[in-house]
Amino acid sequence: MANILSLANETLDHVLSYVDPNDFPAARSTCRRMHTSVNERFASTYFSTRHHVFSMSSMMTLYEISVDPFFAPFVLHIEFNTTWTFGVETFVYETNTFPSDHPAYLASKPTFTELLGTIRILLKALDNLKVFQSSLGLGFNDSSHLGPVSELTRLLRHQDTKRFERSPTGNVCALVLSCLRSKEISINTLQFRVEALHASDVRQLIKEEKTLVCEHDEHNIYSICPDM
Amino acid sequence: MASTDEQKIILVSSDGVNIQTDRIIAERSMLIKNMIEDLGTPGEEPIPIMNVSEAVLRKVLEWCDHHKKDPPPEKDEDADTRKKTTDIEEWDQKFMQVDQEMLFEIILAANYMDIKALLDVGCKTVANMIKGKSPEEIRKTFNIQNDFTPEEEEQIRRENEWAEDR
Repeated sequence: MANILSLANETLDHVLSYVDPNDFPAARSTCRRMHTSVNERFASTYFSTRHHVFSMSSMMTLYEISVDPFFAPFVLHIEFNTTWTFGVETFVYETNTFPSDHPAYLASKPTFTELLGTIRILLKALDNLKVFQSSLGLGFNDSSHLGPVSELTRLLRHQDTKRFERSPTGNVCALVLSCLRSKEISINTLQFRVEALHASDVRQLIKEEKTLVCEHDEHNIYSICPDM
Repeated sequence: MASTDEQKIILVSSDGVNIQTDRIIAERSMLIKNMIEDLGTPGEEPIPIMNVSEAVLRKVLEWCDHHKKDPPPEKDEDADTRKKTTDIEEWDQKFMQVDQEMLFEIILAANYMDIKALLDVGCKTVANMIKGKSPEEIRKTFNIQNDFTPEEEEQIRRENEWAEDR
């Protein structure tokens, strides 16, 4: 009897080309054949540009993706939101656990509740991604440029936003930049999108990093020359 | 000699039934169009449609008849515009209101007979049947067996969470 699984791979793929991307997670969860057929579309839709915050669990998710041989090659660009800090997210992301005996966890444990800890995880993730990508695009956004993070993270959907402190965007940028430079990770695009309040931080940072060539527009979007 | 529009041809279904139809209708199928051009004697020799039963072939020809005056799709442009929407025109929606076995037989036949527009309508119909459904609802709709191990299900659930948190 003809049914969806009797379609040839090419025809099933044709069907899936019309499936709404919002339905990819459900479609890939039905059976192995559908999983295989939809997985690349799922990965390129949800993993080519990642959005993360500087929280332990968000960075752990990025780390887990970076060690996944199927999903890691799809990651081309990562957008970070620097506004939300760690502190309370452990229960926000409680289902998203990181193996506590994992070397990355153990190595970073002492500073896990600090910004530096999340950046260490980020650097490990970026280091892993180097295996799959020759270069990556990065973007750092503060509260004036929340973008999809504001819609997608459970932080904003389920939590009292007043409980989160604003992290110092300039410090995040400085830390990340110096770490990236020391690690020699190839970045093809790097942008900071910051509100006027934090723009001076970024300007100062760029001033200190004399070799950086930077442009910015009227929306305070700073594009850093990708030769770092 | 009859013009191309008036010519009749005979198709033979996989279950051996001869079906006479207008050439213009049958030529919505690129398979048939190419066969007619290769044979060079339209109407004289019955054309076997090996993989399509009489019931399905008649249904496919019903669609071809309704769409016989549609402009032929342009090759590359067609591929782009087809992907943009899952909208299906009203007549096609009604046409596709068949049981699932027939729906998939039509898709298989459209693929075999190389009728891209019909294949698109069939695929869009199936895609719309997936829309907004949970995995269990999709399984139920298409009578799919869950063949994942519990460990695989857990891994997929985690990966779906990664997607949600992007």
